[in-house]
Amino acid sequence: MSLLLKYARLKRVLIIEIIICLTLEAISILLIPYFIAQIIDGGILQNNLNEVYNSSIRMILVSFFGTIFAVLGCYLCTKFCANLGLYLRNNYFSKTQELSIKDTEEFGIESLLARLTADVDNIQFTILSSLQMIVPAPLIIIACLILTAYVSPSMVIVPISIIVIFGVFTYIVLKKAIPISIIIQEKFDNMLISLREFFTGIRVIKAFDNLEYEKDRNIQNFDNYARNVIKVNNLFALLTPVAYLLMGITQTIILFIGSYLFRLNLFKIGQITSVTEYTLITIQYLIFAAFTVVMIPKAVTSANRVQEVVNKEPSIKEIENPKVLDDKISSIEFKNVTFYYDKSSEPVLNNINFKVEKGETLAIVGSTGSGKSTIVKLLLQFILPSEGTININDENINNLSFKSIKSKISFVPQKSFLFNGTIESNLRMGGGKDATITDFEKACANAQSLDFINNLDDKFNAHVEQGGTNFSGGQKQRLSISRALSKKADVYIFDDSFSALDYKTTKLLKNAIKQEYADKIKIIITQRISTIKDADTIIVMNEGKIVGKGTHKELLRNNTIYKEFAISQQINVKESLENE
Amino acid sequence: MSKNSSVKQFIRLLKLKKLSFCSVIACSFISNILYILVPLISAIAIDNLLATKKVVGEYVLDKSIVMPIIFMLIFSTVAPFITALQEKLMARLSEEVVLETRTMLMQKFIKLPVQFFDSHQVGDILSRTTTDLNKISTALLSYFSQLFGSIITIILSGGMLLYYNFALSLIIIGLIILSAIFTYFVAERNKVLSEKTQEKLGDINTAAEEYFTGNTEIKAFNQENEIITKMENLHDEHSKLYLKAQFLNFAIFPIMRFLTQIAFIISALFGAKLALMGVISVGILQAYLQYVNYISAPITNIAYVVNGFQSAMGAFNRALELFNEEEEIHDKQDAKLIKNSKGNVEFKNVSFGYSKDNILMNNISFKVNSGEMVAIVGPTGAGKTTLINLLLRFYEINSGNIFIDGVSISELKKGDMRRNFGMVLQDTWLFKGTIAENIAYGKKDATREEIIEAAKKAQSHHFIETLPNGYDTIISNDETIISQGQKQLLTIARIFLIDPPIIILDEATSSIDTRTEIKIQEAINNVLKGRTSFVIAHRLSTITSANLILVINNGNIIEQGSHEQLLSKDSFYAGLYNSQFQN
Repeated sequence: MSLLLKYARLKRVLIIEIIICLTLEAISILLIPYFIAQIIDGGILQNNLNEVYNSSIRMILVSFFGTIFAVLGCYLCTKFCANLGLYLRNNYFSKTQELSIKDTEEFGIESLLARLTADVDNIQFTILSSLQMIVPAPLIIIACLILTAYVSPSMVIVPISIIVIFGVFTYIVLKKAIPISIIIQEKFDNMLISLREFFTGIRVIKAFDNLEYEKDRNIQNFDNYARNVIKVNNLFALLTPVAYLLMGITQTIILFIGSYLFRLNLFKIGQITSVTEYTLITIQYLIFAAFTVVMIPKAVTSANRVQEVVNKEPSIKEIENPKVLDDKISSIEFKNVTFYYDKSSEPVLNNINFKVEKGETLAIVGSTGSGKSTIVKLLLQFILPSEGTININDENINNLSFKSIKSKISFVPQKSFLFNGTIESNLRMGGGKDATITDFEKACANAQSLDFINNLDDKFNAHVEQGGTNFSGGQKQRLSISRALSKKADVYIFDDSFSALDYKTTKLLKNAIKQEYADKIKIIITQRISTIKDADTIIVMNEGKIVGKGTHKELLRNNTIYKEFAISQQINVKESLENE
Repeated sequence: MSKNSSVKQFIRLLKLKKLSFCSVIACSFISNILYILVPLISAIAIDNLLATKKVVGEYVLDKSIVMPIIFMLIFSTVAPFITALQEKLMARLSEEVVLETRTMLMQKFIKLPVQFFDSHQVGDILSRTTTDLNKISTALLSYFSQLFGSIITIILSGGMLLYYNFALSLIIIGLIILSAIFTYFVAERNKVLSEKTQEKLGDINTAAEEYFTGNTEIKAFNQENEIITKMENLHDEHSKLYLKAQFLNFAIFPIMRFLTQIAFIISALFGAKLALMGVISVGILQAYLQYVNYISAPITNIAYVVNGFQSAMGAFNRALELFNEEEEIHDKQDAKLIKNSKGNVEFKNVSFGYSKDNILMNNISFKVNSGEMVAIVGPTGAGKTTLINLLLRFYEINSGNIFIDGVSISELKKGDMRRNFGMVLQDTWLFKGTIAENIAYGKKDATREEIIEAAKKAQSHHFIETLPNGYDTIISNDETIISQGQKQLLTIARIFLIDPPIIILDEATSSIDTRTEIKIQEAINNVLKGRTSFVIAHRLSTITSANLILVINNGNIIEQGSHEQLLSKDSFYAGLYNSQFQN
């Protein structure tokens, strides 16, 4: 909510303008019955045709200017809300880029998207409707009371009591309805989730012969949703009839009292109808307001959901005034690094120690879930060590500017993700603004992607779909490697990124990296032993610990887990060892 | 389905609740007549009042005034009760119609073949079942009774107006209809603008989805600022369209009001003149003005009501189309049950194509004995999963026969037949629930011990224990708290609990490393003992020991035999194998 208040403060002039327009609109609406009373009392009953004309002209003027203010107010309200959307979305999105990967993962992509689109949309529409439907209500009430008092001070008691009764009634209805409408949202989400599961899991469901179970589960969800909707509908069903009832009673009371006062010559006929009209119009506005108020709790939830992201402290933050890393990275060292997501659970990484220097290749081998990728995440400051330190050039990375470190590290992630655009625009993410096509050609040649790029009609201008779905797995991976190699960095990290390449391509790629990136630090994470046989150091990971460190041959000789890996990949251990 | 038949279908649905609907219409009819009589009574009261003489200091109200007031009180208090009854009925009815349709859809879904789900976008069927149907309940709730009420109001009030003064009323009604036409065009234009805004919001969604998915890359390549600028441009474009669309959406109301006010003022002016001429009384003038108000709202609103109904009908139509989908072939009346299947499987002269004129698999025959392992290999996209689709009768074969224990699967009860298969697929499927519930999907009454036992066999006990709530951690399919490989392990754990005679592994271990795979393989081997298995594998190392290898390319089985047999020839298989295992 605080973001909304901040925006409101920013736009306070606009808000004042809106309120002025809406007030003038409210007055113009109530002036019509006033002039009708004039026509009757001053015109017809006095036999004065001029008064009829005058009042008619006044009415047209009031109606005309009232409409102009109404349309202007409408424009201002819409502007307020259009800019609100812009303001919320921009703030929100920049925040998502500031948050750490773990933070955003906690929210989940679906949820982050829903907040950016549906939630902001909902906030916008609710505020817009409120400005149009709720804000005029008190203005109309005040205008109604003033005009009634002007006609007859003693009559004011009628609209006041009617408005109070209806107000109290609406309050009770809303108080009951709002919690239910929050439940409805939940039930609707449940309905969506379980239906989606049914649609995506149809094979598994059929194979487990669980169709009937899924049917019952979903129908149960439909039922829960419908039952709550009916509950709310039932509450709101009362609102209009009660308003009608009050309107009827008002009309009768005013006619009754009016007749009495009329016969005492204290009241004119036109006044009876004008006072009636004021009250009726006011109740109509109260109904609009009541139907709009229901939207508010959902919008508050939406606002809180947006605010939650905006307020979220990034779990990874640089220290204030960090040191900028100017020098080339010449060494990376992990010193007693332990990492856990949560103190109470088992650590993902346990007391990791290693050092890699300029020109070396470090390989990390291990099972799924052994913590290999976590090491990369630590290096890229996607997460920070829970215990121990990571040093770059013997400086603790916690004291360095993260951007300056990242600008010197290039990275190929496990899952190759390419962005909508062209091959060039994707490579430019790595190469930067100044990179030339020649630079890209060189990087792609090393990444073994140049041949297939040159075979494309548009070469580097070839279109890339979101995620790179218009390329095969192997091509995507090579493009992802090309992107990383386009970057002039000191450290190159390959996170299981040769998996979709065949043996020959991997070999050519490895040779190219060896030659062209000889003085760089290379870190290769893999499950394929053949890829990293000639690495300077191989680290074997298991259940978050380093269980072996050495060269291929050393490990084959004395590391059981490494040996198991080799055997599982049809590597003949004996032959490899004898082959010295 | 044509629009016409969707309206018919809609009416058929309403007929299910005939009594309630008739009651709603009756209530609407009665209450509206009562409401319309009120101004008439008030006119009588006012005219009678004007006819009486003024008195001083004395409380006198004669019968000519009191009677109309009493009538007014009765009418205006009885009518709301009838309205309340009508609204209460509608509150229930509108949602029940939707619930009924939704339930019928669900009953339809479980009868649809896998092909239906393969050929439809999940988001599409999902929105037809949820948001599209909700539009119907909203339309019923806000327009249905309003529609009947409006018709009655227009007829009666219009009648009153024409009765009082024919010529003036024609002009007034003409004016109101003009403003209705104006509204109609604005509403049409508004629809176009709203769609454009919605599209832009869709662009925001697409772009943001891409950037959230590629979060790792953006961060690793320091691209945050570039991405923010791109999004800000999109937000700005959307904001401009939003301003236009919503301004039109709301500005139409004061303009409509202005047009009806003009009609009202003209009525007042001419009415007053007539009153001055003594043609009508003051009471009638007031009643006349009230009827002008009564009639203008429903007429000017009609564009919105029509639009609302149209879009609700369109939405309803989309949902109804699902009822026309062809259902899975029903089980035969005398369909057999399998008891204690041994797991003998035979394909005999099977031909199949996803469409009739494009036969992929031609006259395929092979036999698998109880306990044997069949491997299905081939390049990506060759159609390896097709065989599984046929075996589980997810798709119907065009000709030939598939036998389980010598009985053609077309003779068997589908659900019962499928229960003989334990399946782990390439795409993991987990539902929102605890890890324990997910593991126990095939055996809902499994004890915690059994679940842990299964998890241990699937090498997942360790990582489950590291999660904040262990086995009670709530997960869902797009959960990122556990890795893709770990999700696979969980679906493998499921298999251990149900203990089926035939096991299908469709690239089940594709995202698990080789060493873990070998460990699981040991456990899987234990389950496989004495059971038949079909294994689709990407890594050929895992299937060299299979009794039968089926090599698939372009949807057809091109080679079959054991590893040694296939490797000894200059086969397609040999080529595949060597590309993976040159050292």
